[in-house]
Amino acid sequence: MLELKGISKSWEEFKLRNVNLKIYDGEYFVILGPTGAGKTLLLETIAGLHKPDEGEIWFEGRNITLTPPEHRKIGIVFQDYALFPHMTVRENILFGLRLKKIPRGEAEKRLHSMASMLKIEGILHRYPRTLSGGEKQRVALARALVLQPKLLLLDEPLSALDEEIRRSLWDELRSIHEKLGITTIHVTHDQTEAVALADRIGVMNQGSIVQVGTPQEVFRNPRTEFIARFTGFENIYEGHASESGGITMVKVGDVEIASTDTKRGKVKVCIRPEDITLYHERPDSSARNVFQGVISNVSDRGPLVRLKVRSKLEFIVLISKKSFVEMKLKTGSPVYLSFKASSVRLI
Amino acid sequence: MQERRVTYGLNLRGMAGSLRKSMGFYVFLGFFSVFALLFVVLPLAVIFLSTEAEDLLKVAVDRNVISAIFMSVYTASLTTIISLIFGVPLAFLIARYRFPGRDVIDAIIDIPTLLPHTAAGIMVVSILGNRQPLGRILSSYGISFLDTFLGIVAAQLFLSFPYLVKSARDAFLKVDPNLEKAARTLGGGMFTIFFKIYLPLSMHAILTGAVLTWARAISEFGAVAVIAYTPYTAPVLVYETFVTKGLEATRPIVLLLVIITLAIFIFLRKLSKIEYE
Repeated sequence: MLELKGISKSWEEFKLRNVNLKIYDGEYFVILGPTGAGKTLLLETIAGLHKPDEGEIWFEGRNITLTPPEHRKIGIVFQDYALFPHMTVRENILFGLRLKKIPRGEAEKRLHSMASMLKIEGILHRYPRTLSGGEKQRVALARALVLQPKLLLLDEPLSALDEEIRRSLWDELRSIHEKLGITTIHVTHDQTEAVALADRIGVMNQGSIVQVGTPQEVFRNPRTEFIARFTGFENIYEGHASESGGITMVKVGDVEIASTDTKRGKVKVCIRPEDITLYHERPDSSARNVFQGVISNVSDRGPLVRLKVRSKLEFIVLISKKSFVEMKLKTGSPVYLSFKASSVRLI
Repeated sequence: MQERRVTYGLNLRGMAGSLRKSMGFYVFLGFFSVFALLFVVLPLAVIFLSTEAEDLLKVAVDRNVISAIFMSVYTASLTTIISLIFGVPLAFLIARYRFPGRDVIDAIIDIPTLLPHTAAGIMVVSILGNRQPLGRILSSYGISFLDTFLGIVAAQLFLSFPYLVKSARDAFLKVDPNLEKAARTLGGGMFTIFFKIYLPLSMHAILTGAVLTWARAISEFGAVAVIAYTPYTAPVLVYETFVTKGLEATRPIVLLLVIITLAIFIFLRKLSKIEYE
């Protein structure tokens, strides 16, 4: 287990503020946060590349706060891969093994099993500058993993790659993780990536870990407005909540929104755009929240369409392109929208 | 395929148009460039044309001339090697670490290149002269700098060492700091990181700096003449011959120097171009 106890660190324009975090053995933990949140600084502090100003780092029952990086058994893959440009792929991967004085035969064996797992046997003789982004990524992974670290740190490992390669590497990262059972901390600003990969997510903002939980917990029950926004609750309104007939009713301006949450008083009402359904006719459903409105803006998001609906409130709605086409929607179309009381989060 | 040909044609036409428009600019560039080149080419041409082959051959076998040229090559090479050994670590210190006084050190390194060379020579004599504190101690051990090859090296070193430090420093600064971080997490200590990462990645720039240092050292006259007029180096011999025997007698020596310097310089440039591929 890796445990961060009250880590604070100030470095250049980045800051960590009292970070407390437990990461369990074998876990795939994703740190999710916007640019400048301090994610890279946190990762490099765990790796031992920065000394924390305050706090302790415990790993496998030992205090490693002051242990130099070369003795931590922690592997790291940098955002820009940091492959040694003057060495071939093979030399890059052997670099750490040679420093650890692993006998030649054993080193060769490890090199080849790693190369075959990551499908890079064909490029061992090449120099980094001749590799594609995806290939560099695999080489960087191989270089870190070949030392059999106890903990693998990935700093935005996929951010420089094409969408298609990213998605295929998601599966691959998961399968490597399962094959090796290695505890992994993966930093990203992409919520889809976080959901696709994480056992647990830690949301980071302004140097602090603001929420930790499974993807379901974090994405269903954001603890703050920042987390709600960052995890895709695009509809957020201020209101006043009170109980009415066994359910919470929130007054937002001159409309009321029903929620199954039980918070009272001044609240933020948060609704995910994909939880809202559109209809031509007033729906005859059990949904408590139904509004009439007009589509004011349409933008294409690949398989999805993002709509703005002007009603007494303005709603952002995500629907599939299929239903968008079937319903013959366009800017100016009058619609009804509805969402379940159980989809309404109160913060 | 067809579409490609169309764009190609359009580009050509565009290029021709812009060529016409910038004609004036090329005339302006050409005019000044030709003059600038003449500054360099004319003296070289005159030396080549005004010297008899017979005279050139005569100085080429003159023992005094040969030993002066040898002394120059020998001392400049020694200077370059010493600069490499001491300058590269200094350059790394300046490039890699932030510490109080770093900017001062960085600025001090530039001073020798800004001084008049005779003044630089006076400064070197003020330390190493036989009646100066350090010089006295060293001369009591039989190490003298006045009128010895050591004095020549000391003067050359003072003036040419900065070129090496600066090119090495700039090269080290260009190395991606994440490479160092990666190397550390892979088990490398600072020695490994310096010799296996920074040094190979900066080798090309360091060798280029060494060639500059060598060129600067071999052409030094002022500072060398102050501390060690003899044994003659080539620049001092040229001056001495000119003062005592006149222009006609000096020209063949100069031509010989030009030829040898050019040959060595081209060779070194080639050598320093060997890059990690």
